[in-house]
Amino acid sequence: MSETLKQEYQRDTLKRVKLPNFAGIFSIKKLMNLTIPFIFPLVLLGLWQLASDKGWIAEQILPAPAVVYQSFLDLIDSGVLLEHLIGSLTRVGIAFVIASILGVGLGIFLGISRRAEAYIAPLFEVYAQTPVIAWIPIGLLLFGISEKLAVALITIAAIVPIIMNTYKGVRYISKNYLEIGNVYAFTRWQTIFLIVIPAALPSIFNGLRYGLTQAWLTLVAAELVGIDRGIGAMIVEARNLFQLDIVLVAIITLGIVGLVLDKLFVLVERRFLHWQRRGL
Amino acid sequence: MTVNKQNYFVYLPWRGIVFPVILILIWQLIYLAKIANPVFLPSVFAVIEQGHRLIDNGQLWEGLKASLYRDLVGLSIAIFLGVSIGIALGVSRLAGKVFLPTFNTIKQVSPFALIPLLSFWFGLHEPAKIAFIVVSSVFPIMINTYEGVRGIAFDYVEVGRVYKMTTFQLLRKIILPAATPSIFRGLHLGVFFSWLGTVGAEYFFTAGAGLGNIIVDGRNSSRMDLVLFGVFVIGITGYLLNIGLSYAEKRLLHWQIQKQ
Amino acid sequence: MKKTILKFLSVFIAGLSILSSLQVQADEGKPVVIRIGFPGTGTGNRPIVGGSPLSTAHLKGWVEEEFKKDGIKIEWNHFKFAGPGINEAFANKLLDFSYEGDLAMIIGKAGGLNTKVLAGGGVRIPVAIAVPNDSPIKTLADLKGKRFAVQKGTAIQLAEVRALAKAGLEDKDVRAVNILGANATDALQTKDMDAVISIPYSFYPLRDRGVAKIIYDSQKSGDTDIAIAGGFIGDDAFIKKYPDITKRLLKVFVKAAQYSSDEANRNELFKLWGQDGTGFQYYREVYNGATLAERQTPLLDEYWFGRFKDGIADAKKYKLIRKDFDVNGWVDKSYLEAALKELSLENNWTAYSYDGKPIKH
Repeated sequence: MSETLKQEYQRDTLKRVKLPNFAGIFSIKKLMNLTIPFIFPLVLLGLWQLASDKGWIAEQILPAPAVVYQSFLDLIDSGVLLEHLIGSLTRVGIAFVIASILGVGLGIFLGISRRAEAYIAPLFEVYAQTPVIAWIPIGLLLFGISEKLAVALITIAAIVPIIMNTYKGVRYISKNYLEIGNVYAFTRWQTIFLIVIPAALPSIFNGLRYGLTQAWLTLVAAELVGIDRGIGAMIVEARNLFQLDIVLVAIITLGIVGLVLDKLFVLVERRFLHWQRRGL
Repeated sequence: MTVNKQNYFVYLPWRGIVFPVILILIWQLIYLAKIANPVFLPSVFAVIEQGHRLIDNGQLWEGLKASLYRDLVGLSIAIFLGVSIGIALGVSRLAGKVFLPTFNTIKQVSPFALIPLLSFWFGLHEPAKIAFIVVSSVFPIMINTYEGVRGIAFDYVEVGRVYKMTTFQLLRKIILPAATPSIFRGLHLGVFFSWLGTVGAEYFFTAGAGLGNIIVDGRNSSRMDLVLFGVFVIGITGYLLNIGLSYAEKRLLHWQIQKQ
Repeated sequence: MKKTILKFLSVFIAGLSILSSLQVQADEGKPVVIRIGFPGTGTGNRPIVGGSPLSTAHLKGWVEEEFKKDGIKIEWNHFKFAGPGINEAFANKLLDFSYEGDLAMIIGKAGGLNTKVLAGGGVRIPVAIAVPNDSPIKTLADLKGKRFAVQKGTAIQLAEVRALAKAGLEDKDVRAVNILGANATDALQTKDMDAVISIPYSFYPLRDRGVAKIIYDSQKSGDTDIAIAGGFIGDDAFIKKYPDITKRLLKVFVKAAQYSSDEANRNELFKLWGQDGTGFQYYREVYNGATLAERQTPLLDEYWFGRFKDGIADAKKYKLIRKDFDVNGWVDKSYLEAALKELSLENNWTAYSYDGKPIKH
């Protein structure tokens, strides 16, 4: 019996492309999936090399890949890159934590209380659409040129998606869930912690993820206003000294670290939400 | 049947005004009590007066026109690029796999870091600012469009296949309409980021006309009343832009059944 | 849906046409436009900057006058980011000529820009360091560990490292932060910065309002080796392509330099430059004790060469550039000399030797 099933299975799979399977762990398909994302970047790298070889773009503006790579190694060697990176990550970390706590709290508040929503939401909407840059002059007034200013700016920007997504998650909880709470005669706080937050968790995590992205994007702008340690500061200094290869190292670092942060967050999110999938 | 509160502008406005008014009162009280340095926290009336002056001498209108022009041109280009590329990536699984990881990485890089590179292709003045705005806003639009197209329930596409539609028809009649909520989510982000890019461009590029420039000028001459008025106008304009989009969204999506 | 697509398409095409209008097409014999740059902007970001022969030429409209009959437009660019912005513009082929401070010029050339120095003009410019009025900082040595606002990549930074070296300090010993122009002087008022270094007249308004005090002025301390030097440079490709235009431009420059060096014009000049927001009074004060000629001289004399040789060496020493270069190959005196001859001004200015003493002919 098992023989025919196996034969059936083999027949079916033959219809799809039959790819060799190395010791059952390494399939070529998996390999392909791993390498496909790198095709485009490699093409870009090739174009870049071509552009610098043929001199299409002035080498001061777009240095050759080899130069940038060398600078990258130098920066790692001297520990400078790590120093700036740690500075930036600390800033983003602190700002994100503050934004998360405040954001989720406010979001839940706005989502639960219709009255709060009515009073606060319009102003929040206007605030949400104001670019962070507009806050710089006011921030300078309140915090002066300091670490606090940079952290404040990042928080201001990151808190918006957190609040919005948390609010939406709380607000649109299925009525059924809330009814269950009524049936069990939950107190207000029990409702919040046992029903609202778990049900809104996917949205909250979504908001936190967007908030992290926003924080990372705002980092550079916030650091442009006079910080001495950070990727943004590195860019400013290198640009002033006309060392655009360092600027490129910084840009690539920004992209990769940002991506890593995002992926890490998704992993954390999955762990928290794994129970959700089973429910579905 | 739950009331759909997604359209805030249908709200009764007076409850929303209470909170801002309280804040303004607190502001004026702080000013009167002279807690903060008056150079840095001017009276509410000074700000209003500045606003009046700017409206009178036409500067506000000039700045607003310039900023909006930049914003809308940049946004349109970003929408055009973002939506078309997003659809292309969504429809072709292979294209998605090839390009999306890179785009996901690029979108993590703040456009401000790319300014030196932009100057090469686009110079120092208007074109560069518009390019900056495009770079700021194209990725959210693109990625949300992609997700909208990819996330369509297979059933919908099945229906199209049953009717033996051509790809183009499939696109127009099924994919686009189904992806529209996602696309509009991307558009909202796009509007936000393009406005952010507009103000940012005016702050960091060479001089020109615009609302951001009003703030910069105010900052440089230490006129905080000018700055505060500018911030106010910038915020309100961003808000109105978003409202405008929501309105268009409502018109286009009135046939959609609200999910619950 | 179709209408929106059409709308987007039309805007897209409009966008493309904007982009395409940026490239300046030059025809064979003459450029369509000459693009000239200035480091920095005036108060409130206004596109006026005083203090050099180029400023004089700009404000008097002499360049436009010279090239009007050829129908060549003159485009003036004032760079908020000063020297670094000018370097980027040169690299992007967006600028033909500019006045620049020494460090910025050096950084540009060391970075591989193809520029040529055509004239001096703007040398022996003093620098000053200011602190908030009630600050305990009194000497340069007190700056250790303090937050120091410097415009990096500009001549100010070179003056900064030199001044610090005088007090036995290094750039690492202070917390040097890069702040854009006006924000720096504001920072003094809010006490966010412990000290700021800049050209003295930036501080006079604050000093007079009692907000800040100047603790160091290179002119008053006689530190002539810290004073800033500058020059008029041009893009080599442009010079090679349009040598005649370059020659005529230098002629206007020299004429402006002569006007700016003539003591009879002293008050007029300060009023003229003062339009950049600094005002007549403060220009007069910063020139107190100095002649116009010694700062406005366009001569590329031994003194100028000496300053720049030192500048290159110091820049390399303080790791502001990665490789040095020979200043001699960078300078093209021919246009300056031709202009001097044409205007018969060869002896209008004193040439100085490296140690600052006049060379007697």
